[in-house]
Amino acid sequence: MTESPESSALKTALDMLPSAVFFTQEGWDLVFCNKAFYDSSGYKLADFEKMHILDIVHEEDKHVFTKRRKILEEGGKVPDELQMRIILKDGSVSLVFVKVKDITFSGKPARLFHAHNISAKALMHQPPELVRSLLDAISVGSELGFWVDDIKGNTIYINDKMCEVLGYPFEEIKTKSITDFFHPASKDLYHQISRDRIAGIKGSSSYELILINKEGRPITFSVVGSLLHDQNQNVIGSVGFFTNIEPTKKLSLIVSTLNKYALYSKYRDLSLFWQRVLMDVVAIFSADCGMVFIDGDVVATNGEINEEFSPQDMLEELTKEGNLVKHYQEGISKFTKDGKSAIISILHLNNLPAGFMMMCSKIKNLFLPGDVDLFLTFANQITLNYEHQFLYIESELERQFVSVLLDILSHDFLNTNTSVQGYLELLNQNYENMDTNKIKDYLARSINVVDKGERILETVQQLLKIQQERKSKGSVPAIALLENAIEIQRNLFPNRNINIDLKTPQNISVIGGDLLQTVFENLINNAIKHNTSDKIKIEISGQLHEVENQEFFECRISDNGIGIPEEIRDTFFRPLSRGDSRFHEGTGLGLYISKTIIESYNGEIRFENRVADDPTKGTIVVITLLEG
Amino acid sequence: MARVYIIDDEETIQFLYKEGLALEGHEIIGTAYNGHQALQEIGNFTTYPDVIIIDHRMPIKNGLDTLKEMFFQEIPESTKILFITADPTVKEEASKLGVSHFIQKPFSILKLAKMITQLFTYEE
Repeated sequence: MTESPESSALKTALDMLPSAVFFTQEGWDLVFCNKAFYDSSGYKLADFEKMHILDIVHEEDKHVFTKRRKILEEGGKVPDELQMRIILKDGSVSLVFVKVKDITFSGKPARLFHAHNISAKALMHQPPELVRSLLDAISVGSELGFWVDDIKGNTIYINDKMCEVLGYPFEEIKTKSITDFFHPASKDLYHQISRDRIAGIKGSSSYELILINKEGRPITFSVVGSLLHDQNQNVIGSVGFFTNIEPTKKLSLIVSTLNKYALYSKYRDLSLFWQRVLMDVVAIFSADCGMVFIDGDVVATNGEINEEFSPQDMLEELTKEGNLVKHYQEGISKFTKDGKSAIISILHLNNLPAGFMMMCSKIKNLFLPGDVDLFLTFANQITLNYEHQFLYIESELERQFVSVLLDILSHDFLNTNTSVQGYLELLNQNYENMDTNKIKDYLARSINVVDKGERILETVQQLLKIQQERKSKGSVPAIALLENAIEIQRNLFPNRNINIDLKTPQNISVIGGDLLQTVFENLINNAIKHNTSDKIKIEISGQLHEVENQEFFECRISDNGIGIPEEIRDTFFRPLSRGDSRFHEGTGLGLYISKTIIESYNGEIRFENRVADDPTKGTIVVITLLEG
Repeated sequence: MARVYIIDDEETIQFLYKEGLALEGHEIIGTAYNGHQALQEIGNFTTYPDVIIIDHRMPIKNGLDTLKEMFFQEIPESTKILFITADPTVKEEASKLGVSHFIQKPFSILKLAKMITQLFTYEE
C-alpha cells in the first residue's frame, strides 16, 4: 500500500494533470475528482455528495466492479487496468481506459482511478464483441457511424447506425470489406488516402466518401479517419467515423444550382437552360434520367433514356392510370412502379400550370420523403428563375429589334433619301447639258436605290415576322426546306452555271419554323451572287451529332465564291455593322436576318474557310439546329 | 478647286459625290468603303487631299473610330474633314478630333459642293 502525501498537496498536484483522476473510499464512495474530470464529465463537486462510483458507470459495465470486489474479498488478484463506459452529466457516454491503484488518502485506504479517453489501440486488442459493445455504447443516441477494419481490409466492427444507413444487418456486412460498398468515384480517393497515410503523408483527416446502400442509393458521408497502430507502431488497421451528409449535401447543391441559374445573361437559350438544369438536378438526386415538358413539348431530357426504361414510358404509365391528374392537384408526386421510382413536380409559369419536371430511377426507393420536398422547392424556385430569364431575354430581343429598326430608319432610309435627292438635283441642275446615257444612268441608280428601299421595307416586315414566329417554333422538316430553297434559288439565276450537291440524311426534323427556308435561300443566294467562277459549286452536307445528351443537326453550305476576308468576318452578322457594298447587292441585312432567325430557333450560325487559311477560296456557312 | 477623298460604304453615294462635286470642279482623288481601308490608304499618301469626307455609319470601322486613328496620322491642318452623320450625339466627340464641318443626312449634294467651294474661296 502506498503512503499518501499531504491531502491538500495531492489534490493540487492532481488538479494540474490533463487526464481525469478520481478516488473512492469505503467501498465505492467518490471522495475526490480532479479538475480534468470535472471539465470532461460536466459534473460539479456538489453532484458527488451523495454519489458513489457505480452511479456514473454504464449499466452494462457495473458487473466489472462487482466481479472485482468479489475477487478481492476472496483474496484474489484483479487487473490494474480496465475499460468502462462512464455516463457524463449530460447523459452521453464516454468510453475510458482506467488504471487503478490502491493508495492512502487522508489517512484512510483509497482507490485511485486514472482515466484516459480510450484509444484506438486499446480497441484493437479487445475481442470483437467487446469492441462492438464499447463502440455501440459511445454511439448511443448518436448519428455517427463507426467502421473499423484491419490492414487487409477485413471488417472488424461496424456500429448499428452504420448498418442501419447501409440497410444491411451486421451479420451480412461483417463478411465484406468497406470498399465493397463504395461508389466507384470514391474507391480511388479512399485508396489514395490510405496509401498516403501509410506512407506518412499528412493530408486532411476529413474527406467525403459515397457509399451505396442495399437499395442501390448513393449516400455521401463526411468521414474522419485514422490509422490504427500496434505497440511497435506498425499499421494494423484503420478506423473511420461516418456522418451521413446526404441531406445537407443535397440542400447545398440545390441552393448553388438555383444561384447558378439566377444569372440572367448567362443562359440566353431557354431550351439549353432546361437541359442544363435537368442535367444538374438529375445528378444531385442520383437519378437515372429526367425530362422537362413545357407547353406540350419535351424541352429537355437527360440520362439513360432507352427503350427499356425512359421518362416517357413512366409518363405513359402514369397517364394511363390517371395518376397525373391526381398528383397535379397535389402539386408533386412520388411514384413506384415495377421496381422503378419517379418524382414529378408540376411547373407553374405565370401562376398557371405549364408543364412538369420528372426524374426517374431504376432504384425503387431512390427518392426519400425529404427528397420530394427538396425537389418541389427546387422546381418552384427554378421556374421563377426561368421566368426572370425569359423576361430578360424577351426584353433584350425587343431592345435589339427596336435598335435595328431605328438603325434602318436613321441610316438606310436616310441614305436612300440622300441618293435619290442627289441624283434628282443633278438632273434638275444639268439635264439640258447631259447626254442620254448619263441621264439614264442617274435614273437607273435612283430606281435601284428606290428598289433597295423596298427591299429594306420587306426586311422590316421579315423582322416583324421573326418577332411573331419566335414564340411559335416547332418541329420542321429541315431537308425538305433545304430542297425548296435550292430549287427557288436555282431558278433565280437561269444564266449561271450552278452545281448544287445536297448530301444529307433523309427526313431530319429540327426545331424551327417556316423562316428557316428564308435562311437557306439567303445563304444559297449569297453563295451564288458572290461568286465569280464560271462554274458555281455549292456543296450542302448535313449530319446529326450529340452534345451533352442533346441531338443537333449541323448543316454546312460550302461555296467556291470570293470568300470573306478574315478582318471583316466578325462584322458580317452584326445588326448595326454590315459588310460593305462589295459584299452585298441587297439591303446588307440578309446575314443579320439569317442569324436572328437561327438564334430564335436556339441554333447557331458561323463562317469557316472552305480552304483552311485561305479566305479567298470560298466560304462554308455552318448552321447548327436542335433536332426536334 | 479641292482634291477630295471619300470614305463611305455605299457605292451609289460615292458616285453621287463624284458627280455632284465635279459640277463645282472638285476632284475625287480616292475612295474607301470603310475606315479600315481608308486608314491604310491615308498612311501611304505623299500629298494629302484638301478635303476628307467621312460617313459615320460604316461597317468594320465607323467614322468616329476612324477619326480617332487619323488623329495620330499627322494630317495637315489645311486638310478639312467633313463628317457626315445622322446621329447628333457623336458631334461633340468628333469636334475634339479635328472635324471642320458636320453634314446632317439627308443633305443636298449641290449645297455640299458649293460649301466646299466657299470653304476654299474664303481660305484663299
